[in-house]
Amino acid sequence: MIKISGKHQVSIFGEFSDIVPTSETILSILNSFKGKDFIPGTVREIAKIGTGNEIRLQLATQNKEWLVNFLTNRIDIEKNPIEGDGDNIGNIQNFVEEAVDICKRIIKAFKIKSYRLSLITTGMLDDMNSSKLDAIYIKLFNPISYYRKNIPFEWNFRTGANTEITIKNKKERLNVLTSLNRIHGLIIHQDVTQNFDRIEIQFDINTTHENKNQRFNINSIIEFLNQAIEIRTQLITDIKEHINV
Amino acid sequence: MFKKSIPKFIIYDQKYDQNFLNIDNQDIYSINGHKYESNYFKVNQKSTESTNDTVLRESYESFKNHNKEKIIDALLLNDFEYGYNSTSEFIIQSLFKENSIFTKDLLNDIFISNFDNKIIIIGLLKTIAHFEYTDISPIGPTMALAALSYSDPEVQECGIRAYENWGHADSLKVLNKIKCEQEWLSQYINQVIEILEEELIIYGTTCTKN
Repeated sequence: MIKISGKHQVSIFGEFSDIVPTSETILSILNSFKGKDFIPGTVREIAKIGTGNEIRLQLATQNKEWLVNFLTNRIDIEKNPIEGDGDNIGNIQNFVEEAVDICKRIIKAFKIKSYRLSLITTGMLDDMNSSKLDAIYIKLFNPISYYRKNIPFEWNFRTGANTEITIKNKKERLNVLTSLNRIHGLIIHQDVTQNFDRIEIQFDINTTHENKNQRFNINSIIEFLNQAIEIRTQLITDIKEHINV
Repeated sequence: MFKKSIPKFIIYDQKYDQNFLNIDNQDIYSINGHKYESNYFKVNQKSTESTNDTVLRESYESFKNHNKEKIIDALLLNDFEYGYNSTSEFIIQSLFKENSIFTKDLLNDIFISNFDNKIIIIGLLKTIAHFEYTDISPIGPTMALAALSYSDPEVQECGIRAYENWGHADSLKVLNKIKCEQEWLSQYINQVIEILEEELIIYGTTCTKN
């Protein structure tokens, strides 16, 4: 169903203001990431501009397929599409395994814990003709008569729900968000441009923000991600069934 | 792990971001990050990117578009001679006066995206070695340390030489912590440490040896 894979991201939230690009930190991270193709660099955190603490550590592969941003209150582990149709992203399981390996190395270097976890994945559905796109709109929105007569060329369908999972034998509340968006744009690949009119799909599964106790370790991250993958799989199955693609 | 490929960019016609969940009142974006999408946690699910952030990002993109090739071309000239300022140094100094923040971001960008190009990496290391340590931090020392993971000994040497040139008190601290497998590099690091320590004893500080 998902034809083009977009960015995939695992984020861990915590107090990471000390992880700044000093020589000491870089040496520590280089040591932990030995054997990986990550290059240390810097990234600017816009929210912190003017605080004197906006330049943060970043690890990147040369082609920017993988980026690890060490921001003040979160660490984002991203895998970005760099090949046609985002084929390099691979399946969710492989992405998560790699992200967990990166988390282990980060924890080894900085002995951190976190209070919030998230998994975000994006992609685009198969190419469809406009009548199919319109039919999906009608099915999802049950629109008012104006938009039933004048079918929108662009729309956003975003749904958020709460559920519970168990991490380290404790209940954790989750936000489960799904977005289906009809979008237009341009794909540029090796100097060839192509217009598109497709449905973008985004899943954002994260533990809720209320509990600020730094309670998550590497096992919690693994437990969370495995359950988040299950929820994501269920959502994909449900969407496929509902919109019939 | 990574494969070489020309990145594929997808540009949305929509003028607003695709927003995800509101998390922690933070709006986070890297101005020199990958340009594929803009899917970030936002303050409010209905919020769009703030005008300031857009301006900043667009300003950086414009700065980068104007100057990236100019810097790379200058680095490829490889006109580094003892006692003379290289073309790249001249250009980067002048960009620093224009916008030091963007210049550092751009140098970081060039360093990462050209990491497999020895000439550019050596050129960058030789150029940044001539800047004041505090002016070029943190990106300069980050590059110098990243150079140690390079397979080519000439690049590794340039990384150490940058620390030697900066002659900053931090240099000594860092050099003392570097553990490397190659004997020649260890010897070189030890020589630099000795010189810097000597300067510390004589002058009470190390001095920059541009």
